[in-house]
Amino acid sequence: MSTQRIRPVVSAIITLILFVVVPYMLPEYIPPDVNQLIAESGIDLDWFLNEIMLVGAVTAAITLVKGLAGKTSPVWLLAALAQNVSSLVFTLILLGAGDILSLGFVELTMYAENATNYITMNMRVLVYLSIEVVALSMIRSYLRWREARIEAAPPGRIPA
Amino acid sequence: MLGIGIMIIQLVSVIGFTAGFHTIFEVYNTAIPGGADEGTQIEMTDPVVIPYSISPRNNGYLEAELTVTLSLVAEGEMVIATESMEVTIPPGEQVPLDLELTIPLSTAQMYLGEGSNAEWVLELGITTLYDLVSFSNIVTMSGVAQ
Repeated sequence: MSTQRIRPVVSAIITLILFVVVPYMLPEYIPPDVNQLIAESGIDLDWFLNEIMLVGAVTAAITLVKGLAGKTSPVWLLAALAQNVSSLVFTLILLGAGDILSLGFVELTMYAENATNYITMNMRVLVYLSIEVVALSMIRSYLRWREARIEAAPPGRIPA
Repeated sequence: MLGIGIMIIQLVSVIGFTAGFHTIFEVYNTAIPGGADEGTQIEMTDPVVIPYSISPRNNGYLEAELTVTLSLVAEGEMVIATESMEVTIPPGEQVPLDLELTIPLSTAQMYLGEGSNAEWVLELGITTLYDLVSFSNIVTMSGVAQ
């Protein structure tokens, strides 16, 4: 197997370990008091980790496909665009504490014996910046793909 | 060129996020009342004046705006008394904040006595990074009777 083939496989494996294996093992290492605090805050940790693992598995698959596809093929472009979208979804999951649709506006309610704690965090500006980064990254992916096609085309021919 | 632009936006996001939330939590930690020892003994004068003082300190790197609202609420939504104050805390500085809730004695006897269903509502709102990042904590405490 050539280095060009090994690299995407290694990247996919690392992505799988970081975003699937680690979140899968994480609950075992969370101290019970921290676990209780998370549960009291209304965050569904299992759901949150499942979302991370799902996005991680999809990202690993996309990384593999992108790495194995030729830079001039439409598959490479589609995989690159999908990779950008998956990074945005990942950011939305993190900033929304598992709720993608909250778009970075987190609401938590914690109940104690005689008190209720209602917490809100507004991180929407970071979501907007992430959307901007992803949009620019998609444009860059397209330009790279187009450039690769132009370079690969025989002299005098403009790729469709 | 596009790559550099993307990197700059990512860098600004990370720095803004870290500095913003560091500032918010530094202010919040010094603005939230500590423990039971910080409770206020209410004197039944006419009118009843309930003081609430804090000295939030901004150990962060950005200017923060803190809004504190203290209210006495009955039956979930009837506001008996409320007082609010907004202060701007520059980085590295401490700003004292004094609130006073004034309630007529007859009202206070009705809602601060035994068996009352009134609640204290303390709202702390902190914004920083030109109001782009914000945090709010509303604490509702039941059992206001002395």
